[in-house]
Amino acid sequence: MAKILWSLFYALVAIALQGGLGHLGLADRFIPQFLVVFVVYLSFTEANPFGCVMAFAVGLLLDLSSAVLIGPWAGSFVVIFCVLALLSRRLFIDSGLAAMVITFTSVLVANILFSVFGDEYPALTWEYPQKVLGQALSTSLVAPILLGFLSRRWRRANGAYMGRGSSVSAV
Amino acid sequence: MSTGGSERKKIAALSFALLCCSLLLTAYSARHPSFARIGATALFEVIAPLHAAVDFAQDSTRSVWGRYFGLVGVSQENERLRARISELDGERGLLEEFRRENDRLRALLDLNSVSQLRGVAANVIGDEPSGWGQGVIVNKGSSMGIRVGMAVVHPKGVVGQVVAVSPNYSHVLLLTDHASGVDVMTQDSRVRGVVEGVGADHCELRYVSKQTPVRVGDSIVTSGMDGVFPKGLIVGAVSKVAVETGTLLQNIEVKVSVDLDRLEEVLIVTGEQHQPTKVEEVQSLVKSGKQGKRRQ
Repeated sequence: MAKILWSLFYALVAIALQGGLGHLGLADRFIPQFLVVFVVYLSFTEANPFGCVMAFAVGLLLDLSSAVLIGPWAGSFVVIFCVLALLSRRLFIDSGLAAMVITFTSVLVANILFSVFGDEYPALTWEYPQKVLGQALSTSLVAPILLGFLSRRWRRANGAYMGRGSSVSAV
Repeated sequence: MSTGGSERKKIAALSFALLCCSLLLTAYSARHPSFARIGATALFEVIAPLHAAVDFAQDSTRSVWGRYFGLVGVSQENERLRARISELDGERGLLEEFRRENDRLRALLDLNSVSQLRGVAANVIGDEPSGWGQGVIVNKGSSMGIRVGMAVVHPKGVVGQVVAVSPNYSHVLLLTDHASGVDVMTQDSRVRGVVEGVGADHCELRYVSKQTPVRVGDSIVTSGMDGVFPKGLIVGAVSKVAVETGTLLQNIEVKVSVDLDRLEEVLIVTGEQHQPTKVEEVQSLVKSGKQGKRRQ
């Protein structure tokens, strides 16, 4: 229960922050996608059905915040989670560089999947690749710090030690 | 947590089920836009205060930042005077900020009176967070009479449309969003078309045939035919016209007149003030004349 509440709280703060940073004057292309970092984290620490549902739920929250289409982000987050969770025995995000590379790729894939699920082809212009690359870069830069923070908070919410496969100490 | 064989199968199966579920939701919400607003209403009430907190933090940080750098390098003997100057500068900055806000609100009021629009002024408190859509969150909601579908304008022109409302906040879909469309016409030649967002900082004027003359610089105004935007509001100006061979329509790019990246206050149009027609004016004159005779 604590994990669910904590996940929802994180998701809400992340959504508010993503919207708030834009309003503060930070260009869209430099706003990190905090929720993708969370999904990456979930796929390594909660590689089980619970994590899958949480990835879907935070995606759904992001969809709801747009008030236009419900589902594209939820779908893309589930795919990201599934792929990373299945690879979590072979991949490790213990090092900051690995965390950055995995997050960078995840943001790119999540955005591509979003455009496919949301049928956004007509809206694709040259500005989109720029924006997505910028967001992937900024997300990968904050990922090691955020993953370290999430690791500490999640352990507190979990109240238990997590094994080798789930260790996240990117910083 | 190590992912065993059965656990991996479970994850794959559940992911597939949830993916199907999300695709169904996407299809359903695309056909029924009101469905997308159900959860959004509740979500805004939770997120918007956080946006407001971020906004407040920005103002506070700016103030602290300004004061800190204002005092760096101040010598001991001038400390008091410099602090005073800094304080006065801060107040002047604040007053200047109030003056500008006053000007902007006055412009909204002028818009109210000149265009006979009835509306509610609102402050922009946050951007659309998903990163793909073009939208803003404003601090007025259904408690102030705001409803889904209402037009949102600025003294410089059209801003967008309300797509979701909670009691205290509303989500405004900007003109530049790919899901946005406004029925418009060119101000001089009265050529009609639809301005649609492309997700960038400009829009496109669609459904204008090759035979119709449209030039760069032509002003685009709302036609009032979509039942959302009152007639005659400025949308923008034509910035590029391209005619491709093998097509019937022109590719027209429109530069939006409002700087949507720097929106601070907007007017949500709740209705148009009733303008008495000539017949009604005559009727009221006759009526007042009759009442005058009865009194005599």
